[in-house]
Amino acid sequence: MTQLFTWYGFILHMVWALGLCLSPTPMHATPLNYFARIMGYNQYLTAAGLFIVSILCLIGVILDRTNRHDFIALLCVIPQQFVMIVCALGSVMAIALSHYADGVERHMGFILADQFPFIIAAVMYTLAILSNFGKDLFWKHI
Amino acid sequence: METYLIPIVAFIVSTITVILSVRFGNRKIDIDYVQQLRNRVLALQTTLRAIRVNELKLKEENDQLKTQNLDLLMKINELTNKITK
Repeated sequence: MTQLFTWYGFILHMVWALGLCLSPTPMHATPLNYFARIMGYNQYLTAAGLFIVSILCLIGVILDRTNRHDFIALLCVIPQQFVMIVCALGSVMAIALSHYADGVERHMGFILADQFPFIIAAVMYTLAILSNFGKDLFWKHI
Repeated sequence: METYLIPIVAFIVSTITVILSVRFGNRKIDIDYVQQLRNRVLALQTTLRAIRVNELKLKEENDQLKTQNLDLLMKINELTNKITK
């Protein structure tokens, strides 16, 4: 299950990186906006950041499958979690402010319905990491 | 302000995730090491079987030698009796 979420994040960020290579406009997409701000609104730097995060995540998956270097595998998937949380919090801000990152105003409920997949993805990704690397957190108390 | 707040919150969540994963993580078994241990156990079991087979053979030889020893002692006894007569 962890690896499904990891692959989801990998494909999502790679597609975003590819989109940014083609045009700077994806930086104004709500989930991507805050990450782009962190990268100084630089199109190629943002794409490079997403690309690096995806590759690190892939390395983490491979290391995890070999059942070795658990801590290094964990550290490799954490940057992607960081990006997903930044994207999710960007979506939360858009919902709270009732307007998208590109300035388009919509009702809070509309933006919630639109952006909720990114929020739930960040939450599920975090839970997937904990269930894979911190098994005793869930199973010890059963 | 939110530009700084969001990455800080994300960093805190990631740090907590790492801490919880390390604190509650099961140490995964190194499969290669387990396989090595299994191979060593099998090799030791084979050696132990060979030692037991050897032990049985030596016991048989020992019994045969004891029987031969008894026979020889009896013959010596007979000869001694003949000589004294």
